[in-house]
Amino acid sequence: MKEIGCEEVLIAKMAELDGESTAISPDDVQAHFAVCEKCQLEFAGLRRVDQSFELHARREHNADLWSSVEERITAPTRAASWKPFGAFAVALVVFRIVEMSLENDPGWFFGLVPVVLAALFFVLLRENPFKVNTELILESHHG
Amino acid sequence: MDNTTTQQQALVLGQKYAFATASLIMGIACFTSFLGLEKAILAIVFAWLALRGKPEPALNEHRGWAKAGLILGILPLVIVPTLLILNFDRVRQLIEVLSKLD
Repeated sequence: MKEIGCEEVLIAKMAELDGESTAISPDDVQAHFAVCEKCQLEFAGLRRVDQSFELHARREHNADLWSSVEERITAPTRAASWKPFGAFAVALVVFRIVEMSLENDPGWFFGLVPVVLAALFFVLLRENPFKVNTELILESHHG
Repeated sequence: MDNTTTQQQALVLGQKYAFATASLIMGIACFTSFLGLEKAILAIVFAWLALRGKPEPALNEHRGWAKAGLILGILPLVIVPTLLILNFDRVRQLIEVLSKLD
């Protein structure tokens, strides 16, 4: 019988566990393994490491995200929400009511309030009305 | 869609975009009152945006409109303060009379 080294036996045992074919016959492996205490200990250690890796297997997420992402990408752009415009209009009307109801002249700087509100409004919208937009896309091409 | 139609649509939408912006800005200006000078400032700002070369292309047609708007915007900015300074006493009297009416 051909002399088989411990390393070859261990490789063959691990391959056998993984369901792969081995260069050495299973009978030869088993014969060496039955009498070699070193191989048994080594194999037991390798099995423990293997089992440890199996326990820490990365979790697989099966959620299908693409359908929702695709839907968002291909959907036509929705018209800008009216809510910030509505809130801005209400703020301006409230300002005008307050201005008219004041008995004393609040001063010229009070007139700056709508300007400040407008500035805040455009900051909220992340838009600059005094900028020529070079990144506009034809609406009909968007959807 | 052929290229000419696309270009035509882009031109139309560009003008409508400008009208939408002008509408919003003028709407906001309705709530401010600085002796009408806020409208003059806006006229100058819009004219400057129309007349400046960057980003390209530069405006060729209706350039006269922007220049006219610029001049019309500058006029109140010059005339109103000048009249106020020249008639300072009268304006003060007028303000006093108006405050007495209150």
